[in-house]
Amino acid sequence: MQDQKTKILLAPAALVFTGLFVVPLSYFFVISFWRIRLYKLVQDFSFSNYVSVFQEYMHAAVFTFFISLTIAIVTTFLAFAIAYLVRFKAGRFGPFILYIAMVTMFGGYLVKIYAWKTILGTNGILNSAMLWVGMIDEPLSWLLYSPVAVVLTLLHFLLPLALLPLVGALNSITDDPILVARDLGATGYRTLVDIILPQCQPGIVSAFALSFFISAGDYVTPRLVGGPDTFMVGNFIESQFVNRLNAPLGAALAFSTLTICLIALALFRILLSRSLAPK
Amino acid sequence: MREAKTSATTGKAIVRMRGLSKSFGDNVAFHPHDLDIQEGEFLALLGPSGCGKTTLLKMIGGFLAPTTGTIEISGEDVTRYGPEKRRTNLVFQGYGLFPHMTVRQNVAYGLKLAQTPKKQMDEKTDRMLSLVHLDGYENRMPQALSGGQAQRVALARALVMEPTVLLMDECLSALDLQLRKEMQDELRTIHAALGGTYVFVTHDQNEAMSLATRIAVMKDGNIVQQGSAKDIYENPASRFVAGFVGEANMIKGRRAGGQIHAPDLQCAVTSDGVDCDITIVIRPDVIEFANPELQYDFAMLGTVQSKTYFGSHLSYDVDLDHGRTIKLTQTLSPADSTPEVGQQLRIGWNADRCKILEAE
Amino acid sequence: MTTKEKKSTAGLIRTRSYVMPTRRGFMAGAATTLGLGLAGGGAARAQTTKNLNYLGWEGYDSFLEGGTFTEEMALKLGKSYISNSDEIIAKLRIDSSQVDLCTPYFIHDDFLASQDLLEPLDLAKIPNFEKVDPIIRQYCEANMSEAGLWYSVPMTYGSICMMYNAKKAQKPTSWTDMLKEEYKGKIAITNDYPGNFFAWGRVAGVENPNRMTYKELDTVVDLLITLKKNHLRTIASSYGELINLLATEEVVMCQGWEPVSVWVGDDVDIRPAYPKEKSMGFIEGYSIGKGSSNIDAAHAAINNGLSLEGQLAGAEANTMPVVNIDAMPQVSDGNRALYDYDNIENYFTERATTVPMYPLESDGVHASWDDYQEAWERVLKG
Repeated sequence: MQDQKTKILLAPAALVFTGLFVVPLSYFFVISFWRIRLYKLVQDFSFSNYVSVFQEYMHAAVFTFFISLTIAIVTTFLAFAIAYLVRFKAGRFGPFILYIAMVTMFGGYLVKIYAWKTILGTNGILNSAMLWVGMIDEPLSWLLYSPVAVVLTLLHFLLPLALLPLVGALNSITDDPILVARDLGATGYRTLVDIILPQCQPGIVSAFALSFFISAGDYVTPRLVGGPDTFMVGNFIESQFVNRLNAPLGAALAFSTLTICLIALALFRILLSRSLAPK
Repeated sequence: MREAKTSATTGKAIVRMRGLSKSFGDNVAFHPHDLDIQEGEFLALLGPSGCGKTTLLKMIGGFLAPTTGTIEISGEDVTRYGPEKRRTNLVFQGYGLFPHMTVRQNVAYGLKLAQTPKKQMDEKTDRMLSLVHLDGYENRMPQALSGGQAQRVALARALVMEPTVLLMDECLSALDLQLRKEMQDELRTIHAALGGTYVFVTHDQNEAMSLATRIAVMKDGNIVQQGSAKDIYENPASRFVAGFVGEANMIKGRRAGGQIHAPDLQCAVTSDGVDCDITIVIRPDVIEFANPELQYDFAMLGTVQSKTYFGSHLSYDVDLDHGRTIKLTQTLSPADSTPEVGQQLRIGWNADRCKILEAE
Repeated sequence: MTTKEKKSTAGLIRTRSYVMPTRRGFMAGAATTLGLGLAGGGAARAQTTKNLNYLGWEGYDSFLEGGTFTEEMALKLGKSYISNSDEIIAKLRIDSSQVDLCTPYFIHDDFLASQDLLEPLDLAKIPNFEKVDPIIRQYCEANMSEAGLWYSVPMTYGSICMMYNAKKAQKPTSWTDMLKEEYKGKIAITNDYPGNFFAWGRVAGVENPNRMTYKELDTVVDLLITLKKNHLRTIASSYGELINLLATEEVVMCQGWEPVSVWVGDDVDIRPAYPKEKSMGFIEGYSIGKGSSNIDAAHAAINNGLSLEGQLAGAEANTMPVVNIDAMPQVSDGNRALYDYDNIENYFTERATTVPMYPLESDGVHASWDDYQEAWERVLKG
């Protein structure tokens, strides 16, 4: 009876999950083995799309992988620092800092992109300030329309998102074990590494995964601030779907990227848990 | 600032506190005191919540910086040191086990930090685990332990460091009565076996009396009395101590011209001292059902109001004829007759067994 | 131009380029799909007011609604703006009968007709078609009509020409002026690959850049990669982006489109320039989705878009040229200055050239549509 009731209550969630995640993913997975003939889908079973991905988009995949990895690591690191501040150092200002970080999410994605354009542009705030101070003689053009701009913009966008799981993880750590560690002779650094970090592993993985996946799948930021040489896999996936009407190749590219990302995430988890495991 | 209370005793003090106090803003948590802790002693800081006992313990452990005064441990001034630099270890009320470490890793963590050689570390850890009866639980995670087991891990983790002073903060209070009694026995045994100086905080007078070689009774940020359990029980320095440590009948009266006058008492007794208001403190166990053949300094008539059986003894409430209730306990031996509820009888006690407090 | 007007033009996301690749754009796409379905249902229920589903660039709808036409006819346009001309192909494919009015890409017209996604237009119901300048009609006929039937009728035109900042750069006379050392890092192109292949195909000496051989296409890809690697500040993803780049003076010369010179505002002096190799010209038109249930009303709306009122309304709102010969003398001075109506012939012979659709399939020698797109990806990757 209870079982029956539970099933009924879970049904909407299962339905939404299937409808929004399982079905589309399965569909595109199947499609990725089809091909396009005269801009129309033709059923097939061939790995040629995956071969094309390997031959034509490897460089984009590698670039995307490394830039996303950079963004994810920097974001997770900074988000952890802020979360640490909120949990341990800021006292009653903690919630306020968190609130400010959350408020910046309200501005949305494009607003941040345009804000960074204003800051990083040749005649932007940063260049003007550095010129005025005399740090530079002429504007640094590589600040905008470059990988640097992509990293900064995504970092800014992702930071509050990455902050949430980390604040959650740190808040679930009680004070006593930390005090005990000090009492047993641990320095601040050892306490962090031995006691705090291992306990917020799930939060770290969430923050990293969130930053990594969103970066790896993004195509707006590279297009708007990335300049002529910063095209990421997302741009080519989009191009396959929208411009070239080649959903099979687009799907194959998407699944290849997804697989690489999942492997990278799994490696990250293993490395993290190995390095934080108590000895 | 008020004068520091001197409670320092002579002998070999391992911890020496001078003028020590702690304030949080305008709120004084611990008034300035001098206090020594002797090597090998088992000191209980006893008092109700908010009396400053945990504040004092945390100052000894280095978790709180004192507002004034100094602390010396083994002759070294450690006032400015944090807990990581003091050879003290604190067992927390909530144990504070590392949830991601096994029992063994928990216990060995401090040794590892001290870069103890592996072999020595393993030996010490094993010995300690066996001492607290946790052999076989080495690889359990803290979540899989019962309250008593978790308590033992916390204790072992502190003891393995061979602290100069072991500090315990209400560390038995989360256990049920049976387990608490067992742990008290074990703590006593361990103290006897390993030696060392222990300081523990409790609000439970029974625990304090059963464990401590010395009790410091605290109230409102002050140490109001210290001494052995017997001292304090028999010679409470104040109504507060009398009431907090053990049960007591307290009867108010006045001493004038060497005579005690108390409305509740049916008799007059002589007492040396200045004329003042007084309180007579009588422990329930010194009062007897009057033996007609004996003389008592205090003797009066009453009616048994209630009678409670405790196995080794009986506890009575006796209403005196004018309404005052007196508690008394009767240790049982097979020959004793036990009065019944409603029975009228005489009760009595001698002046040398009760304590007369001058008015506070 | 007042600040208010400036704002409204800067806010336009109407571009002839492929994409305004924003999440918002993506959402708009999703909303469009939904909107089409809902509006379709609404049309069946509406008794008094007729709903027409419009699918096209924001701004291109202002011709259709010029004057008091919509009130008189009791019509309401259900608008779905696109962010990418390929969206029209996708939506027509999903259900062309739900698209009453659309603005396909000029070179897509005959492709869409051949795929049976567009209704042949009944010119009898579009009497204002007769008012379209004969020269414009002549240049759009190849793309818009098939076997004597018109699938699209023109309402405005333009070209993917050059733009420059008159205070910071010399007026360019060739696409190769972008390669000059003094403009290094201050050049932009848009992501409009047909326009880019046209321009640099012409630089490479190709007569018809939409009919390049593989070898020619490779040459042009190399040219574009050189341009990209050594001279470009960035590749603008939309005209909104391009305007931003020009307004902040990040770039002083770029590939663009005539109205941009006005949309960018008065703070910078941006002017169009027509290089000697010519620019890719296009003539924008209205089409009706195959199987539309509102064919008569859609024809009436198109006719209004070509009327004097419709033409003037659309042209002034967007700073685009008119095609109706009666409207030409009545446009504002600014509009006339930008579009030399006395020399339309010259515009299509000397300044711009219209081009046909790319081959859908390769004949082994000439590159196909997909080859062009693949080539553009090579440029981006290069």
